[in-house]
Amino acid sequence: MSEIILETRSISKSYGGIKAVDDVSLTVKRASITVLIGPNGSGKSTLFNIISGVDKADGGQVFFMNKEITHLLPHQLFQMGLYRTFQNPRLFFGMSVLENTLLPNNSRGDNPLFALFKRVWQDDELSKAEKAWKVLGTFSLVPLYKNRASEISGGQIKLLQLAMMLMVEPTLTLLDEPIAGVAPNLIPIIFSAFQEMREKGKTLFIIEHRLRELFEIADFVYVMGRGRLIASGTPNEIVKNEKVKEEYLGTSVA
Amino acid sequence: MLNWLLGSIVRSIFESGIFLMVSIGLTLTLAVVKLPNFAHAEFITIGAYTTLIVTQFLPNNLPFALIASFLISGLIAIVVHQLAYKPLIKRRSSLYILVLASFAVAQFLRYTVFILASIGGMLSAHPLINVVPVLYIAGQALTNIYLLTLLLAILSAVFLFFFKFTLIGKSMRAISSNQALAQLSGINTERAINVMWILAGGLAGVGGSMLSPYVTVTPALGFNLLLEIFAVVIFGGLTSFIGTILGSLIMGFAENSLMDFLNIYFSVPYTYTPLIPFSLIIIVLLIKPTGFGLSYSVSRALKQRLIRTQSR
Amino acid sequence: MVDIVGFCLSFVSFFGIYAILTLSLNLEYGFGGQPNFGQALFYGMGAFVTAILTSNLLLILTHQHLENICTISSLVERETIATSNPSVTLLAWAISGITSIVVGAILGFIASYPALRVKEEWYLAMVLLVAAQIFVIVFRYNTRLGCGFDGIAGISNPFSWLVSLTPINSPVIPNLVYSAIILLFTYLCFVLTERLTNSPFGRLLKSVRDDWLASSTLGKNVNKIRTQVMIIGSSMASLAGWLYVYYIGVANTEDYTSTFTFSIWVMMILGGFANNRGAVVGAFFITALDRFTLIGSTLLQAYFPGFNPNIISYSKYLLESLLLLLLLVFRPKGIMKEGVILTPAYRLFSLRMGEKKNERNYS
Repeated sequence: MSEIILETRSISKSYGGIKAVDDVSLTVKRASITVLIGPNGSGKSTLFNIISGVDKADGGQVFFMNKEITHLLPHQLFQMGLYRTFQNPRLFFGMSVLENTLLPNNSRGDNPLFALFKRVWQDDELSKAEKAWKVLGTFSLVPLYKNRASEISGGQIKLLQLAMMLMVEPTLTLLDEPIAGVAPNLIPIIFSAFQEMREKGKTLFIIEHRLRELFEIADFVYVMGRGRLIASGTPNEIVKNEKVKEEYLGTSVA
Repeated sequence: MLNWLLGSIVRSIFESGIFLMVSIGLTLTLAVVKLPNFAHAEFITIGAYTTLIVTQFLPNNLPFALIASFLISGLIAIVVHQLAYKPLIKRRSSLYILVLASFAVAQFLRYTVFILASIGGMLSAHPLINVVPVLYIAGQALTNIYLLTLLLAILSAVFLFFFKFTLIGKSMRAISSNQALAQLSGINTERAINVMWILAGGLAGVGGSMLSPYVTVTPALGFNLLLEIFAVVIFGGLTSFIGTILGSLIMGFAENSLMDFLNIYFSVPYTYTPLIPFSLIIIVLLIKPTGFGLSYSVSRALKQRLIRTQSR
Repeated sequence: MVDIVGFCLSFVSFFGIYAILTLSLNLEYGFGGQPNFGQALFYGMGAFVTAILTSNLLLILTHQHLENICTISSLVERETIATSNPSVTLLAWAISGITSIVVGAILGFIASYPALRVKEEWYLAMVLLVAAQIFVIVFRYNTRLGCGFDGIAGISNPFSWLVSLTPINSPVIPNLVYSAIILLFTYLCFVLTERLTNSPFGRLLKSVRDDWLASSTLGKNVNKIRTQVMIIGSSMASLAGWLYVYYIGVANTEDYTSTFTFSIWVMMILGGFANNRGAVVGAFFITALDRFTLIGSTLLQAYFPGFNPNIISYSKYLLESLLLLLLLVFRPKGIMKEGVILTPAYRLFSLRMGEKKNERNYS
């Protein structure tokens, strides 16, 4: 098993003359929680879009588990074990919390012919239900199980997104600002879920605004500014990094 | 051998003119409020019936009939917008709901006309207008209505071309580009949109009036032209005036000269004429879905509506 | 004056067929997000395939040679076969039924063909709408396919032969039996759609409906799902066409116009978006509107001889469109709200949360 699960080489992307991402090369270690921070507009989300196949890079390559994935589409990446959440969560707002949670995993009942006969997919369904019970319970979402996703709060939507990730336990998950807007008392629960994933050998690559929140659990940090990678290192190293402080211009980073 | 050709060309030009007048309003509607208005064809029927009624009382008074048709069709267009479309647009309804609503409006208008015409004994009638040959070109008679239609068609095209430069025209282009931004810039979008509806409905009504002396006026008059109008507009890329002009020409010639050709040389019965707009639509969608017009693509406009309802 | 039994039977039969159509549209649009503005195409194709196939089969199977089914003599001959030869009639009925479903499935597959979808979503809607119009034109004017404007006649009730077998000798018996069969199929379709939508497949459908890009990101094959739902929906619509043409006896393009597609949409929106019971309820109300205006028209004609009966049918269409507009503006979700996807998973949660047994709506 390789140590490095994700690698980008010289990724560049411009939007009409502005370099959103400028020659970014980084690596993410397997079974780590790697964090990407940077001020607004530094290109973090664009980089994620490129890695997750939503956007096309102007130049550079992306490797996942040593295979090149630069030109692959989101559903292909999902099947390889790469999952991505969005800053503005993309859930299924016409369905309930439970239905959203049960969706990501496959089932024999996905086939319409088999779907007609409950006995074929019943067991699948019940084991998924048990898992969902546990996962939703972790985030205190169980009482909302039959509420439509359009009717729960923004923070709860983010939790639901995380719950869906936990149902699948992808090899590598790119999380785009997963804790923004979440009630502070729930953050420790989220962190322990992240740590559990790491213990299971899964990798998390997280975009967040400020390092402070993720300081305790981050293994490695990358800092972007105006499209470029300006620093990388352990959380301790980053906090002491002069360039980083400059980039944030007075915003405290630790 | 080719003596059918001249008559065919003459007819094609006339129909192109009619198609232009009745389709350009739909182009406007799509450009400004991004609504594929399936009720547009009913404005044609309303215009034709207005002319019918007016000429009952004032026979041969074409100017009055045309003005009345323009105003009444235009007015009904505004009412339809205010009552049906505006609430739905405000609610950011999906494109399909708007389309469904426009079907409903179309059916509502059409059967209102059916009922009224039924009561008034005008289910199939002719306006009292004298159709008089004015010119002769190589044995083909060009009537007063014919020439007037061409004149009106050309005038509409020219008018709309220069309209872009007027204040209201510019407002419409701003709304077409980005309605929210236009509103924030202080443009009176309500007024501009209402003017747009008067123009769209009115022009279609005038087109119906000019058609009425030549065909039997029935409540299904407009409805029978719906497919052709959409073919014209889809060909033109939905929001381009030049495209609509081109589309009208193609439709006019295809339905007349091409059909004549197919009929004479391949014995294709005229009842298959409706297959022409269908084929045109399919061909355009397969080859160049953004159409053959010039201006800002429709697909983007409609996509906006589709995307807006998908992401929340 | 009014034939009560006849009215009830026609009400029940139309209701059954309309319910199947509404269920199919609801599956495609309410659950699957695919706007089908040409449902009458699949309905009509099922009808015409049935009419053509069964007319020819009736003649072939009784060892008669094939002749033009559009002639009066052919009509008389076929009606005679139907009243006297149970095995041939029922066989033809069954074969045409299976064929319509297959044809519907194939058409559904074509209609969802990825090439059509690759560019823009609304292309599908436009193409279906146009295709439905073309279907009407081709079958109305092509005498080789459709016997011209009046359509193909002589599709007798497949149980006509019962009349001579029963002691009562009443023509009501076959009608009664056939109407019951229609209701049976309606029930089967209802059960089918309920099972499909209350399953993981139902979840897939709704996810594609709500956000196909997000669904794709979760690894779901959006194109396959859309194709599947179109195939199922179209087969159901064609099944309805098969049932209908045997009930009404004639395959006439007038029954399969875009105006009728519009009626199906009204039924669906009225009854409730993404709710199978709602679809049935919506079909019920519009059938009522339909049948009562017909009765009203007959009655008015009887009492006021100079009265133009068409005005009643014009009013019906007017009312329908007005109803839809009012619904869209004031109550777009319809009579019955969208329900949850009832699977064992839901019941597990429901039980553990101590909910009442029959809760089935979103809170």
